[in-house]
Amino acid sequence: MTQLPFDPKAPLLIFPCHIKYRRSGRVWLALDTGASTTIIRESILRVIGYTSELLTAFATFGDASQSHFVPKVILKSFSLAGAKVENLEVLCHTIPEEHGIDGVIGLNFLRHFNLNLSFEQGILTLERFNSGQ
Amino acid sequence: MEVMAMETNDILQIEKQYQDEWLLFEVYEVDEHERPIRGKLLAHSPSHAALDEFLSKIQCDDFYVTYTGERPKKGMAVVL
Repeated sequence: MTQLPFDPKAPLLIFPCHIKYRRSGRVWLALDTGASTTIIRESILRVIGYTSELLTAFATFGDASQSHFVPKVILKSFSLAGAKVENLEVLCHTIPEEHGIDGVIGLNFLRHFNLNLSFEQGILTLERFNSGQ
Repeated sequence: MEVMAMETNDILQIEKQYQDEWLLFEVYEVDEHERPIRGKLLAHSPSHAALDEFLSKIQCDDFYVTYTGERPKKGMAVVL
């Protein structure tokens, strides 16, 4: 079980996430239960080692106002504290810098766990369950 | 962008010295939640893109990028 503190009054619930490939990169992502897929800043993925040669598949995703056609890649290792998922497909996107984050943690990561957000205590709990995978 | 050569130090203390900037650290120690707590500040800039370009040119096997301003900026609502 993984427990992480967060600021329950913050406008975004942000957490440091760890991506390991040729390099190890640690960036802040916003937890977004409304996002079907995890999205990460493309430039960060490139410096971790997911170079242009590996970004050959594409996907379309829609935000609140428009659709985007972006590269997608399968991350070897993605973790939020002790909660780790291997072979996680993520979308690569240019996140506006003014947001101050490098992407969002979407349902394709979260659904590997039972998730509890205690806004009373400011604690995120992730507990992996046996999904039969 | 400014390239730094600071000694290894407490990351939270270093972050307090820079307002509304992106910071790039080499990580030396993380806490029990795997949050970086000690490292070396390699560079800082208001521009994330500048740090990306710098990072692509250096050897750093374990890095941490963080922003010291409000997330998101004051008055901005984000629908991701």
